[in-house]
Amino acid sequence: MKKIIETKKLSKHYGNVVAINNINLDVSFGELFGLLGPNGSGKTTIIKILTGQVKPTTGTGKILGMNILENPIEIRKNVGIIPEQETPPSFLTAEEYLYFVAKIRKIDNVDKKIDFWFDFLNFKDRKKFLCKDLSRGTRQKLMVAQAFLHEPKLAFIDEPLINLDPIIQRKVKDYFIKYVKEGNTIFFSSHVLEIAQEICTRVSIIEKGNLIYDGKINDMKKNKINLEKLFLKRVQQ
Amino acid sequence: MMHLLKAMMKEEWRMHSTMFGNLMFSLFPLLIFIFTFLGNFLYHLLSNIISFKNSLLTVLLFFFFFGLSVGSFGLLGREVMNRRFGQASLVAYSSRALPISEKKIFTVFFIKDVIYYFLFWILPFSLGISLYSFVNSIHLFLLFKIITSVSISFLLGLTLSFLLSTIYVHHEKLAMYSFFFLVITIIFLNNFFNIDLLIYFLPFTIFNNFNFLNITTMIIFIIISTIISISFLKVDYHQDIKIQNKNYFKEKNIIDNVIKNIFVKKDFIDMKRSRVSYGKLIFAFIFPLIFIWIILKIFITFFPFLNFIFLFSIFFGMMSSTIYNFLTEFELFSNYSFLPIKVSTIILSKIKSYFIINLISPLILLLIIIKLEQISSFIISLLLLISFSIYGLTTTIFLTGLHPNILLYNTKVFLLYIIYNLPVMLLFLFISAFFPNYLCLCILMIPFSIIFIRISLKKWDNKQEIGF
Ligand SMILES: Nc1ncnc2c1ncn2[C@@H]1O[C@H](COP(=O)(O)OP(=O)(O)O)[C@@H](O)[C@H]1O
Ligand SMILES: [Mg+2]
Repeated sequence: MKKIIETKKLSKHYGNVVAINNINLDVSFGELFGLLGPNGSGKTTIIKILTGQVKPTTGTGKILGMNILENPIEIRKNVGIIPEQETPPSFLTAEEYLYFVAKIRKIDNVDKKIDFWFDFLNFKDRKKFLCKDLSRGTRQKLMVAQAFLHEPKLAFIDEPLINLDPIIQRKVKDYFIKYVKEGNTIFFSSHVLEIAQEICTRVSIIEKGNLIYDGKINDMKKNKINLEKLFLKRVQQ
Repeated sequence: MMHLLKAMMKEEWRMHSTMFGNLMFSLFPLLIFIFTFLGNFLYHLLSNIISFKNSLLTVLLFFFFFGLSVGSFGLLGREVMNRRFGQASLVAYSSRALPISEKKIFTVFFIKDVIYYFLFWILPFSLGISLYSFVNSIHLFLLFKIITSVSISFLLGLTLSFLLSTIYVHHEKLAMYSFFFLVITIIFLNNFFNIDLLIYFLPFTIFNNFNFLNITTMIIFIIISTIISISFLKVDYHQDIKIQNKNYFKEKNIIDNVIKNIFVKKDFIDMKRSRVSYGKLIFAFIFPLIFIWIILKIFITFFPFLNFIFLFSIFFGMMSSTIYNFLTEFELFSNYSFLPIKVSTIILSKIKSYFIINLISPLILLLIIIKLEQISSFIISLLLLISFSIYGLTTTIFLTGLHPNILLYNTKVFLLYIIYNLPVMLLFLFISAFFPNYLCLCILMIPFSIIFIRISLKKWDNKQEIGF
């Protein structure tokens, strides 16, 4: 199958800390790929490197055929990213923020798309609030909307469901599944195993910067492998 | 109470020592001590040109403004912290989580500031003078007078800024108006009645009329105004959530005709909506301007061959370049890093906002020049102002990118900043004194700056953004 993400021996060191170590990772078109690992295992670092926000210490990679070292801006134009920590700017309203992102991404006729997201994630009543006055969950909704506004072929999603209530979680998960069915690709990071088991088509487990497992969810089901058990066993070694 | 005080002292130490580096920070009092000690020799050497009155005034004013700035950081600084770190995490602001009243915490906070800055500034200063008095005997009573009035000057600045910030938090407009009223009265009295108000600068008066009654009155005044500040204190002033009906990025509005760049537009929206920052901008501009004015006025009496208006333009230009620091306070690049935007795009937009805000500087300069009746110097002064403003901006961008407020606290960066700027300033001071016809050469700094900004943009695009 054709690869949408390819990496070769990616490593990242912060001083003496090895954040990720020799990562070779491929994702094909149409996968809903889950990168699983405990806190501090290097998930965010990988996403930041793949989207050109952080430079790897060694190694290289390609996203949509573009080199992550040479074309970071082109890559970010073509993918959507839901970051783990970053929040929308304090003094824009929720609505303004989406229009602002639309201007940055040069998308025209966004009115309908923006309305869709306010409806879909059920936060129309917060449209005119300044982002600094929004709750964490609402900011998270805004970040979800922001990432899909330009309908990218590939989305990177760093632990997106943590602050959302169960109803919205359901909606977002269904959206991801549908989105991938339509032929797009999602790279998803999480330490919540149930969600991964439920929506991903393939998962990798990372521990202390090393990839220690890679498998298709379907194969795991066939072989009666329980993700949680596997995770606990491998990671605790 | 003692416990809290200790915790706050520790916190203050850590905060500063992480900003400056531990060693550098510990050396600081020593530096003041040495400076004061050597300063006395310098004064002694120059005592024919420099009057005692002026030197003392400079020192007193210095400690007064120092107190002012320390105090305003205490309260307004929290706004900055909030923007930068989401939530300020100082002990003083965690009052809701602690079983102690806010007033008590802030009383301790104030006491901490007093002790802290006494230990770090006033004590070494006093020791410096005292040591010198062994070399060149200063009368013990004079020594006592100097140290007392310096301490009072610092305390006065500190309490006034606490008072002003308290009023500001309660009633922003009132604080603004009273501040402007004060400034205008001072200018008015100074100009139209030719009263040298500096003589009435209280700590100076105290020095000249040094008696028990005056000192006690002053101390009581300081204590009362502190008590007023603390009793009207509002730590977590409740802000109503305001619905903003305007959508500046959807509907076409007037601004669109003037400002096309969405990031510049955002800067102005930020300023409009975070009203505290508007006030801060004005404070950040007017205060230093007055300070520079006073200091240069005194300075020029030492070096009468310098031209005041040129001198002022150079310093004004350098000062106005700090507007850039103010503009970058609003955001972290990491808020954009997941979008297809380069660091240089944001820096460039900050430069544009910078120029728009800075349009006010030539106007201020013009007013001053009209007042001084030196219209003939306007063109050259304007050139100096613009050139130094741009040059200061350039060196700031080259050294600190989007993070001047953090990186300038780094000792090495700060020293480089001085090294890039000071010699150029001195060069032009020299030219203004001896070859005033060549002053217009300062415009050469502009093309130089443009090239340098280009280099800086490349540098910061290539540099991996450090997450702050
Ligand atoms: N900017 C940074 N500076 C220093 N160390 C970092 C930085 N970012 C991440 N790390 C370290 O790299 C490791 C991996 O972090 P991260 O990728 O955030 O993990 P995860 O997202 O899986 O929780 C951690 O040990 C973390 O402390
Ligand atoms: Mg993470």
